[in-house]
This record gives sequence, C-alpha cells and structure tokens, in this order.
Amino acid sequence: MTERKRSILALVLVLVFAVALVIASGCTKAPSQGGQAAAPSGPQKGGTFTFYIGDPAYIDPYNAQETEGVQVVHQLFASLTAFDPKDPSKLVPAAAERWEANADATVWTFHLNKNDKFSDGNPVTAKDFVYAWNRIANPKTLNTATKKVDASAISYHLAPVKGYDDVQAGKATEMSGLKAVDDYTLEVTLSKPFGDFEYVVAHPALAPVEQSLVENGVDYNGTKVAFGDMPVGNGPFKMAEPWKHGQYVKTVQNPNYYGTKPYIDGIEFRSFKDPDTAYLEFQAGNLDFAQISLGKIKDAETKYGTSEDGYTANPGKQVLVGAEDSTYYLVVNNQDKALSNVKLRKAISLAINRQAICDTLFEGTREPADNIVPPGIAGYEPGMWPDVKYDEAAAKQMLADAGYPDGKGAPEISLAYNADGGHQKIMELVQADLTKLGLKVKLAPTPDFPTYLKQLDAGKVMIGRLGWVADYPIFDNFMNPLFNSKSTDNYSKFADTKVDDAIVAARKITDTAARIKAYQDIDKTIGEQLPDIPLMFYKHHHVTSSRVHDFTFDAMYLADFSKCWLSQTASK
Amino acid sequence: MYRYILRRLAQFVPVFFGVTLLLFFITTLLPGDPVALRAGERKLPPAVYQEMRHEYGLDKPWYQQYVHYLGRLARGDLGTSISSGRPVIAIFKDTFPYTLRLSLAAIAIEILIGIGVGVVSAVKQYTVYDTFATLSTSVLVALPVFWLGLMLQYFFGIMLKNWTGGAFYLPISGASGPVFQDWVHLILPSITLASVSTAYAARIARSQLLEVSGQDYVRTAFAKGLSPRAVLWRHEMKNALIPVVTFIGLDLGMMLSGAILTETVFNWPGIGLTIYQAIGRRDYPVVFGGVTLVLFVVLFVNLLVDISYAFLDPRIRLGGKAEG
Repeated sequence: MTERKRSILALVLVLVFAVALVIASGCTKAPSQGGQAAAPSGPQKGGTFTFYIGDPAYIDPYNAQETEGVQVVHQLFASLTAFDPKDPSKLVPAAAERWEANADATVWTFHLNKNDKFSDGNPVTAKDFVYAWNRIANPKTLNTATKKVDASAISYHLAPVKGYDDVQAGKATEMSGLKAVDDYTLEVTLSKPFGDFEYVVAHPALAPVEQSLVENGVDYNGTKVAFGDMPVGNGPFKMAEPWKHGQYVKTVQNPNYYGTKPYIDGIEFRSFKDPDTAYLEFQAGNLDFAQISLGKIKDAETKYGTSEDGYTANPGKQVLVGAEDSTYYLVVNNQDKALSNVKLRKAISLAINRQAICDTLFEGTREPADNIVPPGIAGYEPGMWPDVKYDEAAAKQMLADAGYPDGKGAPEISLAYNADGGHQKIMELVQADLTKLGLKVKLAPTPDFPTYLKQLDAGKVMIGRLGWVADYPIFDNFMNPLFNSKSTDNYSKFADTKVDDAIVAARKITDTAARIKAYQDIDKTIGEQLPDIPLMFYKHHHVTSSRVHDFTFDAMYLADFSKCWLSQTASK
Repeated sequence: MYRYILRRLAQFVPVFFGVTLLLFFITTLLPGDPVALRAGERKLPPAVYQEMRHEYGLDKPWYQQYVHYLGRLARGDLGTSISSGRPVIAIFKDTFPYTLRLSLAAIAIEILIGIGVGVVSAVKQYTVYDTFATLSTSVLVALPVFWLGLMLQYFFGIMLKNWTGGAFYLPISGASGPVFQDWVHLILPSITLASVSTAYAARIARSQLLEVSGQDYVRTAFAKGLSPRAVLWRHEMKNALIPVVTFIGLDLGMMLSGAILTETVFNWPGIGLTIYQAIGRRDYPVVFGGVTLVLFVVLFVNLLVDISYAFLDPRIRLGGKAEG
C-alpha cells in the first residue's frame, strides 16, 4: 500500500469514527418545538419538563432571593397561602386551608391543612413554620453545608412580625410574635397592623422546613446531604437527587403532596449561564421552556404562535409575552437642588418616548410604564401618574414652567447607570430625548452593577436607573419600600410625612377593597410629586415546546405545573 | 534535574506572594460591596449586613484579610463564597475537572491537528495542501471564538438534527442533562476552544520545520543516507518542536485558567466563568481561591514544559552549568 493510499484509508477511518460518534450522540429524548403536536384527547400523564433557569444562588427557602432560586423553591415547597397563577393579585389556600386577621390586622391566625405532609411523609405542623421563619429572621443562622454563619438576605419579609427587631439585634433567637397554638394552628402577631400580610406569607421563601433535616442533613443513598443541596419540602415536587451546582436541579413528583398531583413526572431545571445558549437548546429540541433571545421575538411568535393570555402556553400558542409585576424606572435624587423642582422632574418624564425605547430595543417585550405600579397589581388603573407619558409639547411647557424655557439656565443632567446589561442603549435614547427638549445631558456609566450600586448608596447619582420586582402583587410592595421616607430602598430620598402616615393608615385596613382604594390615593399623591420616573414594565419573552399543554408562567415570574401535561406522542 | 525543579519551585514563592498581595491590594481599590450585592438592588437589613461583613472578615483592613487568607490556605481552606455560601474548595472541586477535561481535549486537538497540519504543510511546501492549510489557518485565526461556537452549534446541533430527523446531531451545550458525562459533549466546545491555537500551532510548526530543514545537520543526515522520514522524525521534528511545545504549554496554562467565552457559549461548568462571575459579584473568596488555583496550575504546567525541553533537545541540560 502506498503512502497516499494509507493516508486516504486513515482519513476514511477517521470519518467513519466521526459519524459513529455523531450517531452515538443522537440518543436523547427531545421535546418537539414548532408546529402543532398531534392533538391527544385529553391530559396525558408522564414526562419530565425541562425548564431553563439561570444558576440559582440558593434553593433552600431561607435564602430564596433571586428569581431562579425562588422558582425551584416554589415547586418544592408550599407556603401558607399562594398567588393564584391565573391572577396573582388573588390569593388561594396553600399550606393553610383558611386564615383570618383580627380587627386591626395585627394578629393573624392560619389554620393548616391537616393533610399537608413533607415529601418524607412527616406532617407539616405550625412548629415547622415557626422554626423556618425564625431561621430566616436570625442573622446568625448557619449554612447547612458549611455550618458557618450565613444570614438570610431576605429576612425583610418578616420585618412586620413582632420580635423581628429583637432577633435581628441579637437580643433573642425567636420572634415573640410567632406562636404554634397547636399542631395545625399558627398565630402570628405583628408589631404594627398590616392588612396585606396574607400576601407576604404567600412568598415561596416563607415555607415550612423540618428542623431535624436542616440541622442533620437529608439521607440520600445512605449518605447525608446538606439540606441546602437537597431540600425536603411540602410542594408538588421533590428533589430526585442532590442539586448539581451549575448544572441542574432534578425533581420528581412528591407522592405525599396534599394537593392534586401534577400530570408530569417531574421537572428538570437546567442551569444556563447564558440565556441565548438555552434558547439554542430549545431550538434544538432539548428544552421545554426557554427565554427567547432579544432580536428573535417576532420570529419566535411567527414560528411557535403567541399565547392567548400571555401567560398560558399550549401547542401552537407557545410564546409567552404577559406583563410581569416589575418596573424599570429612573431613580431621581430628590435632594438635588435642581431636581427637587417637581416641574423639572415632570418635564423630563414627559419628554421621554417610552414606546420608542420598547420598540427599538426590546421588540415590544417591554411596554411603556404609566405608573411605578405595574398593571398586574390589584387596583392599578391606567393614567394614575398623569405625567408619565410622552408629550413633547407638554414637556416643553413644563420645562418653561420649571423656570428653564427651552432648557436655558438648566443645570447639566447626569444619567448614571451600569454599562452592562443593556442599560447603555436605554440611557442613550433617554439622553437623546432630553437633549431634544433643550437640556444638557451627560451619560455617567459605571463598568458594572457593584460600582453603580456603591455610587447610588453614596447619594452621588443625579438620575440613575433601577428595576423593582414585586415580592408580592400588592400596592404596598411598591409604595412602602420605594417612597416611605424611612425605607432603606428609597434611593430617591423622597420624603413626605403625609405619604408615610397614609401608608401606615392603609396597612391597618383589613377590608381589601377599602385598602386598595387607600393605596390608590397614596399612589396618586406620589404620582403628583413624581419622585421617580417610571420607564417600562417588564414582560415575559419566553417560549414552551409544542408538547407542553396548559402550562402557566404568571406575572410574578412563577411557573405553575398544576394543570400542565406533556404530549407523549409528540415527535422526537 | 531535581535541583532545577526545586529551584523553579522556590521561584514560585515570590510569584505567589507578588500576585496574591497585588490582588488583595487591588480589591481595596475596586468599588462595590460583596455583602450588599447579595440582595441585588434591595438593601440588606442592617443587622444581616453587619453580621455577614464580620463573618467574611470584610470589616477588617485588607492586610489582615490577607493574613487570614494565608492562614486558611495553609489549612487547605479557601473560605466560603459570599454570594452562594458554598465552600470555595467545593466550587472548584465541581468546576475544575470540567476545565481540565476541556483543556486536555482542546490541547489534544491542537497537538494532533495543529502539528499534523504544520508538518504536512512544511513537507509539502507550495503544494495544494500547503495552500489549503495556510488559507484555513488564516481563516481560523480571524474567526471570533463565540461566533465559531455558535455556528458549530447551529450546524451540528440544530441543522443536522433537522436534516436527519433527529438521528444525527451533537450536543449544543455541555453542562446540563443526564447525558452530561457523555464525552460527545466535549466535541464542539473543545473544537471551538482549540480553533485559534490549532491554527497558530500549525503555522509555528510549519515555519520551524522549514527553518530547520535548511540546517547543516539535516543536510548531513540526508548525506548519511537516512530516509526522508527518518530525517524528519529523528532530526527535524525534535528541533522544530521546541517553540511549538512552548506555545502549546503556555496555551494549556491559559486554558486551565478558564475559557470564559467557550464556557459561556457552550454552558460549560468550568472555572473561567466561575471566576469571572465572582469578580462581577465581588465574591472575593471565590476570586482569591480561583487565582490561587490558577497560579499553582500554571506553575505546574510551565514546569512540565521546561522539563519537556530536555527530552526534545539533548543539548538542553536543565540545572546544569551550561544553562547559566
């Protein structure tokens, strides 16, 4: 055999090997993507839902802080109440089958569902809630893996509970306001009235946990695994194996779940560092749920069809574009000499073409904000902040009224932001609009979010950017943190004792309709002063595979699998 | 040889202190509070904030933090991640094997294809093979890594799958799913990671081979009646390979420090993105742990490269007087 022939033979062998290798790889089950799957007669049982998430920081409820961790915790645990996935502004029973408050909403009594069990078969009792909540409140709580102090970053949820301050200050280890009256009755006393507390307890982080498992670990194949890596909860799903950090969280049905069992066998949360890679995996048929890459939304809508309500996915109606309960806004330093002038703030707000930003940069996956409170919040009405709209003529007039006709005499406005995360382009469009108004505007980017946050904390920002994601779909979750003069999240330093007092008064109201009315009034009062300038409401831009039926991804960014089922006949 | 290795290890001491001290000092200049960032745009409750700053020693001056870091390191403890509460050792125990696997696969490609193409190109100088190799290496060098990765994903992961009705395809991303351990996940990321370096290795190998082929000892070897193959493998390659080995060795060090772009595009759970994200979150224990790991790895790889010189070129005597 000549050298050339040997070379050709070697090349052929390499090619054969490569093809064999490719065949070997083509063996995974894959969800089908585009088009209609064969229409089955009714819900089918079985199948694992593959779900895209970013890598969570924690899946232990005590520190479920970012959307990824909360998403997993939401499937593994059930809190006292729950947001109705079809309309999160309404509550439905969860671990508590019923609950009531006293006349001034300072004492709340939750009656637990006696059928509620953890996935290990142990009953869920009031003591499990007391333990879980004290664990969150105590700044000396230990990490279950390292046994070192690892305080909860979300203890603020429990700030209304009596005794919270003492636990935070190290004067006590248990909140005096928590009482397990009996195994199935939890009494919570608040330090101040709070009519919306029933919404607070719906947060997935406030779920019950078993003390023995938290402190001693969870058995898995004969070894002990830290609770934080294999949390045991009372939700519809349970961990199938310990969390594979940076890769996946695998869950299966919880046989002891008190509610209706889901149709699907389990959920596999796959962690991706880059949502664009996840979308590629989706297109390749390897994911049932992904976030659509920017620039591809319209294409996806054409290909996969758009969900009718924006939140529920079915074959052929797979793209979810429902509004989320979160707002992107300009935070304005109200203590700045020029910006303390409400008319200047209003002129700036009126000059910004929000629709252009949404269309140009986000393909309609965000919508122009007309309030700090997004539409998903009960009581939201359009136009409550009259100056949050685009009106060039009104902006010019308002600027003149502010004492700066055509911008003459106005100080230079500085727009601060972190240059990563796509904020640069938003700020450039805002700059262009304000320049058109006649103002001198300079961009003041910082390289990343930590640097920006430092500046914001130091009060060095004239106008900056922030996003606010609701923990609970209630007015209070916007009004109190952002505009109460005592709130640490009030970066605009807005201070109005009337607003502070009105929030306290609204919190005392137990009648939901009356409370919402009170908050609407507060919202209007704040809107008249326009301490911050809302820009956009976030919207979903997610998609499901064509084998997914009746899956809901609600305005609170929580997935609901209670009715979801997967076509078992879909093409692979 | 042993004396040389010991001397190289001794040289590591000032390098280690220099790098880590500089790193600690730079962090004092870097704005951003890792504990505050745990809650994102919200403020942490003051008690939690203070407790966590104390727990991570952030309430102490940087030099005290440095001493604590050294103390922990001596005990084999790299501390705890501020953003996730996980032990740093556990984080790198999870991620480094993936970096190692990807780097070794990429280096294998670099050695086999890079050197192979370089040799063919040099031996068949000015033929169609040579022209093709020169052109393709030029293209590879010019291709951005993330673009190449995306194209490979589209072609092998999506288009091929569609064309063949799902019978043939390659996995798009490495990290997820039950088949992750399957080695086919390595194919696309390792090709992507190796692409530019393979092209460089081919070019270096070609030019070095051409250079040594004109040397007197090669002419002598031919004059002795050795076959072209024997001359190539016994005489030319050994001399030509030293710069290639240097390049590949340095490249291996770089790869083992993490390949951020490739890891991102292919969702590969390696150390590069872990360290990069930790910098973004100001998660200093993870950053320091990662840098320490990378320091040791790079030292080790460099040492291996230096030792390999002695085997490639008998004139090099490590630690001998001739080395100066």
